[in-house]
Amino acid sequence: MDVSKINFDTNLNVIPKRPKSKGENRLKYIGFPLGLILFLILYLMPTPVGLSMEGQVAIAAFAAALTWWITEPFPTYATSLLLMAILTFFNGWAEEKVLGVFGLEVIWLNILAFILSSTLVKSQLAKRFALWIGIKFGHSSMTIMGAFILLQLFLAPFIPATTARTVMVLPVMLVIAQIYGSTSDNKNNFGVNLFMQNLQGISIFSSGFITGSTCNIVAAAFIFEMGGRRVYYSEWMIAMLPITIIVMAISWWLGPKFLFKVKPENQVPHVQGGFEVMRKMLKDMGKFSIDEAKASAVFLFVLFLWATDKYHMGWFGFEISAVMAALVGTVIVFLPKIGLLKWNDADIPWHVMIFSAGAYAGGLALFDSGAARFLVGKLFDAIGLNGSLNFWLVYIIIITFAMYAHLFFTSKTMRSIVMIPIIIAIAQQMGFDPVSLALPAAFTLTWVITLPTNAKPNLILYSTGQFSISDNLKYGLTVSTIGVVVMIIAGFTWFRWLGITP
Amino acid sequence: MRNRMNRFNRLIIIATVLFVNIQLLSGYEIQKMCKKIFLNQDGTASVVMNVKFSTSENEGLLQLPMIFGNVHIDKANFDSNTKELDVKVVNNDVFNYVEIPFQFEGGNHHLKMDYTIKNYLDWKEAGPGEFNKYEFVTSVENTFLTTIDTFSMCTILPEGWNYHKIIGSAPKFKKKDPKPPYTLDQIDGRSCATITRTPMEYRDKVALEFIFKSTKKSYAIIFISVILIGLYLFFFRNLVENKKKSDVVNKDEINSNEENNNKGETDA
Repeated sequence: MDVSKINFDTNLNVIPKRPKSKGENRLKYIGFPLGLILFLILYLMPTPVGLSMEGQVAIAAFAAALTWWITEPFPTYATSLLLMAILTFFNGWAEEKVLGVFGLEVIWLNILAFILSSTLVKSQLAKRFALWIGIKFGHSSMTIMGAFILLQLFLAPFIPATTARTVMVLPVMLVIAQIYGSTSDNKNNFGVNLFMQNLQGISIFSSGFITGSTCNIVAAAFIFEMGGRRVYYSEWMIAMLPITIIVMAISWWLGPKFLFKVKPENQVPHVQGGFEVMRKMLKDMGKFSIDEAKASAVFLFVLFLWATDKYHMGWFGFEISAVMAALVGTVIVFLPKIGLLKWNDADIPWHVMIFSAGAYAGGLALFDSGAARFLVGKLFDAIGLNGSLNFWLVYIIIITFAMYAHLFFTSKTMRSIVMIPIIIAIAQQMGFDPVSLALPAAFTLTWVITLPTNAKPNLILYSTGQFSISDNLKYGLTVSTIGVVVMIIAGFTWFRWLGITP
Repeated sequence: MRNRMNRFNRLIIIATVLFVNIQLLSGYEIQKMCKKIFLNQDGTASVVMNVKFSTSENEGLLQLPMIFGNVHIDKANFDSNTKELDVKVVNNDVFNYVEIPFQFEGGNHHLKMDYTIKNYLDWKEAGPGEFNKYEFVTSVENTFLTTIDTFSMCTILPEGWNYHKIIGSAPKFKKKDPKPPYTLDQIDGRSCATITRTPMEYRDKVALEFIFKSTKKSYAIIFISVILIGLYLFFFRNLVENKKKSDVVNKDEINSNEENNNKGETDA
């Protein structure tokens, strides 16, 4: 492989276009009329008893936006802007509140996290680490697969953008797969396992850290704003990181041993020269640069602040929130001489920020107007849930639903916005602590591992041709089910011990 | 100013002592009080008040808080008896209350009283604001020492109007509360909001601040939507027309993609 062809840079602010299938084009064609008709029906029908007129508008606007997000007659960020406009025009939520969403903590944290992740790319620290881990552990199939899982575990707390993580590691993965005889034209089970485990690692480890994904931050914001309890970075990490490690360890062992058995000849490197490519790349990078040292120092400092949030009050007399810790880190990386980033180097996907702001506005309008509570009440009536139901039965239903919901709803952030307020309302209505149901459900939001269409990293990895849709479905459903079982066991034990479940 | 405050405080103390004595003399307990306030188009409010109370006395004076002024008692009776009661509205300079003499066997009893409040809803003051919204507050305070075990107030809007949003309430709706203290419902096809306080003690308030709107909606949106749908279906028909055209779109997208030299996109 030619070293010059391997590109580690990212360009997150430019949206890649993917050719649409015939079915997707049909969906797109009917999506706009469908959403608009749905809006008209829900808006013009007599206001249901028990719902305010504001709530009716919020439901109608959100239903239309949901239809458009799924069918994509317009880009998702344009739908978000349209949702904000509809909410304002039809008085579903006050204009100042709709516009104020962009100033919420969740949006700021996203922007700052993307600026910080840009320092990793610019300093080439991520590239060096990926190459080093590949060379160090690439001599047997199980160790290299394990090494990539560990790499994903390392990257998850630093880089919230799962696609960025995918793009950084992908060139190294392609080289390693080639070394073990797996190419897009001639794939073998080593390639399937390596790519599927990375796909799972990217998604599952994101649930180990509150900053691992936008949807986690959104969920935590909902839990704080609606459930009245702040979830700390350390709390989230202590609760969920062990579970992600257990599940990924099971997946690492289960895949090559049972699901996609790796033939003995593929358990050792095929092309020895492949490592030379990586060694050359690493050698070309030279010694650990000052920029890399600066990036490491800033990241470790921010991570330290995130991980010790509970102790700030005692140490400093004030609390440094996750967003303020990221802000301090961002200030450092932008400082002349000390820092290493200029504004043009900051790779911020503004379309994701706009999408998140609109989706967040829609979700908050549903809650603020009482519409979410109304819908939950109707859902209760429909499925016969009532206050006498046992907590654990509700817990199992919610965890199972939350885990498999990614099959139907592509966007993690959207699921977070739709599901978490409803789960909080369910808990409140049934007299349970909202955190005991909403937090475990939030832990499963990033587990988008069953189909290539579930998440953009999945699509990127699928585009390499190293695994098929049926491979993804088989491996993904198995690991999702393991995830449900582990989460249920954790609910009875680990979460209970931590005081999350009663 | 200070003298006025002292005078006011003295009055409160006197009134309090007075009503403690009255309560001891009369010896009644209020289990439930429900006020249904029907807001009318002419700005008046028709109130239906139901009170469940118990007394150990055979004879006495039932006194109840009456926050509203300008009240006209339409009818009042005990235990669905047809005999009209002699209800007296008293103003003691601090607050209003009603006095109803009773004479029956001790035990549980029920008072039903209908009254009208003139000039209750000032439409001009209430609105219309932006989006033709009207804003109003209904509020009741227990000015008596007698605790009301359960108090509920139901505000019924005029026909053709509906609640747009409840913007405030007493008791307050806190984020951690499992559900708000108020519910929205309908009575005889009219929208109503009921707020409950359990118990309602001395100086406790029950209030509902809300925005309401006419239920009439502009149907112009249907025509605009039909035009938009028609235009969309016409101009984007290439999405479903035939394979070749669809391929052209896809090729354009791929070319554009290559030009942009994209390497990734964040997940949302």
